[in-house]
Amino acid sequence: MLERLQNVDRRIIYVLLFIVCFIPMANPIGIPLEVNETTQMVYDIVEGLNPSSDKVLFVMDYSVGGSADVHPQAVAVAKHLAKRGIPTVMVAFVNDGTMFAEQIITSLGDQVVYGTDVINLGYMAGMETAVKAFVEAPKTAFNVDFRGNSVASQPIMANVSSIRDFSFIIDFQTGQPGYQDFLRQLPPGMSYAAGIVTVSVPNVMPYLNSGQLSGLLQGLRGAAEYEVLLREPGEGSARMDAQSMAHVVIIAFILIGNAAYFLSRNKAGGPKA
Amino acid sequence: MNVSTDPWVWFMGIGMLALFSFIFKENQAYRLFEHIYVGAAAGYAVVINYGNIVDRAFVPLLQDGQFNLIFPVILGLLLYTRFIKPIAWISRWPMSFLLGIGVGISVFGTLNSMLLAQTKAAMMPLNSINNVIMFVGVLSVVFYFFFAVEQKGAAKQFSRVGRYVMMITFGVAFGNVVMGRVSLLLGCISQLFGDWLGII
Repeated sequence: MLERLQNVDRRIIYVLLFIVCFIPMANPIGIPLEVNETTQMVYDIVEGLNPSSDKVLFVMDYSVGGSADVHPQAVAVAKHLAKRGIPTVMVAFVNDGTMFAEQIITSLGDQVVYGTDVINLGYMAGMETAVKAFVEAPKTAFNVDFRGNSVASQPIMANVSSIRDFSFIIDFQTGQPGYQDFLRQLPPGMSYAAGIVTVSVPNVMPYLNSGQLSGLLQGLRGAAEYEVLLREPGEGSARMDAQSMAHVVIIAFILIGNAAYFLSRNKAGGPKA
Repeated sequence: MNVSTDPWVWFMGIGMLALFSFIFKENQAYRLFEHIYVGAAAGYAVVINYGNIVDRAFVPLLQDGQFNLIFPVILGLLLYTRFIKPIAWISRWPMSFLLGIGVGISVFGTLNSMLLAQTKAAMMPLNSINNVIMFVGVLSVVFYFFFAVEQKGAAKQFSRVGRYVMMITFGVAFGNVVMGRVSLLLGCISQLFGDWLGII
């Protein structure tokens, strides 16, 4: 019995996880969600921007594989920027990013005017080299945007002559290029925040603690917290109950496995020399 | 229940189920959709990157008269000599260029933002429990990897503190990995039962 508890068939774990995730998504429980300080920091920055003088650089550096974690964050922040009327320049250094940028712009509908309130510059290949090229000359880095329009003729790019013309940069990423590339290439003193996958959170925290990052959205939970602050529930909030229940199941299995291990050790007469 | 009528959503749903079937046993349906996924991702990357090269190299070079771009275009093309055995050695030149630029671009930023900024941040006032924990944690972990001194007595104990700090960190990292994977599963469930079957 103890042996079986230490080696539970993984298919049982998968099926249980699936059930435990599906039920709360079909019938939400409404577990209260406390907003993290790092999410609040991002929200406060966007709230403090001036629509008539500030511009935001919205970097879409996430791929399809991690989009379930990061896309809800990007949607929530984009909605906030659109609501406040902050001009937003979208760019991607990952080839999937342009697709998500177009999805977000389409979802914003009449809230934004393309070319004036928002623009999708497109994708620039080259990883950190591309980031550096863009940081050095954001206006001339792209001749045409993703939709084939001349970048120089777009009103939103009129007063952009250097990277410092962006009051805030937010970078949604799943890997490379990511926060490290931007931190290496951005001039000092720029307000830069990141929306990352949950897996990367421990690696990024030192940069937040040192003040190099102005804020951080931590995975799907970060998206849910931002939606709470925005008072507009979306994909993030809808999945939080299921996330919590899944964690309960995983913790239960960890406890069962460990209990079975220690009990079997005691039964066998203590640890072997 | 509001089942989608979009054939691509159906394709997505069936493909997702086929890929999930790997959990039970590898099978032909899984292999089929795995190949479709790899092919589609590669095709998308080729199209996007081809467009990038045309928009950023050939159009400015041939239409806008930016002749200074001829040098990187030639270097880029020389990379492909790698596939021609007699002249494969030529590809080392553009490769060296890429490596040199890569190192040059990142070295200053690495020193500045990765090393100096982090070291400065570690020099914190010991005026709160958090700061004391972080200070002791940083020192003990760095000391764990300090091999110039034999680790015995007090040094060994301090090094052990570093090991425990790292173990806690790995536990935190594991917890975040679990959370991240569950998030991805939730995304799949949302697409299957929401976008496809309209149950959620």
